[in-house]
Amino acid sequence: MIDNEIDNERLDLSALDPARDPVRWQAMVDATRSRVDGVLAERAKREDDAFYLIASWRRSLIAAAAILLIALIPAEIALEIRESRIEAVHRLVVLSASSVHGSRAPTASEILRTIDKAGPQ
Amino acid sequence: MSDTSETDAELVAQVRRGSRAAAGTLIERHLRGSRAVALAIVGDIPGAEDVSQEAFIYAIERIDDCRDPSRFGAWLRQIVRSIARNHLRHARVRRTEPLLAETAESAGESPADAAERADLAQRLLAALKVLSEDRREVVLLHDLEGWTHEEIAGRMGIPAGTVRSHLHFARRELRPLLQELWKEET
Repeated sequence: MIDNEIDNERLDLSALDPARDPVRWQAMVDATRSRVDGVLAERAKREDDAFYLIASWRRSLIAAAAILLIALIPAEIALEIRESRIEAVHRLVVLSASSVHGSRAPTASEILRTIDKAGPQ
Repeated sequence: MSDTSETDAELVAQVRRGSRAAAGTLIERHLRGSRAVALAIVGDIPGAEDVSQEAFIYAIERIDDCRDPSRFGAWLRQIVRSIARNHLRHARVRRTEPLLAETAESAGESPADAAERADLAQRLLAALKVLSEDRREVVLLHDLEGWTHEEIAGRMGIPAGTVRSHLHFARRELRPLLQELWKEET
């Protein structure tokens, strides 16, 4: 019963209501509007500024650069691996050609050395 | 042009394009609620008004950072809370307009009536200090600003049941104190 009363009856907090003094409240609203107008005017001025325009792209440019980096690093690593494999194959071809020329088969250690020269795999 | 039927998201989009009218509508719509939230933290009317005004300026300056414009109100209240706590810590948020000086005369009240109202407001704020900050905010938004439980829940980011519970216990704590206060008044 008492709980219901508590839940249904609003407390009288009207002494804190800004509408009790409408002129004062309106002055507060007007002062806020006036300062906000100043902020928007400043913003409009900045947007016409070339430096601000470039600065406003900063975030997008950084994001694009980050995406490019993320995509390029694995591509670069893959390319390097591919290039080193191509070099190894090239060296094996040279070794094989010189072996044919010398009429002798390359030894296992020669083949391994040739592959190892290709660098980290 | 902006009108009061527009959503917060629409108004925020217009403010981003520089519309002063849209900013004005946001002020009309949210300044009272911001003041109540600030009042719950700061505990005095001039301080709460300074804080709510500062919060609005801050929000408009950083309107591009409002990630979900449909929840502008909730975002603004986060700013209000942050500035209010800062105000409490440093007590040096700059005063903006000398509003208090013009109060009594402009409202057509006699100085005695204005003083009596200010005194009552002061004692009411003192009584509110017995509550936790969350309960104070809930009771001010509900009983002073007339928000529904669901509106408060949405904007405070808590369940509606918690709002009801806060309101229940806040009223239970406050009612005897306010009865004393009214008794002194009469």
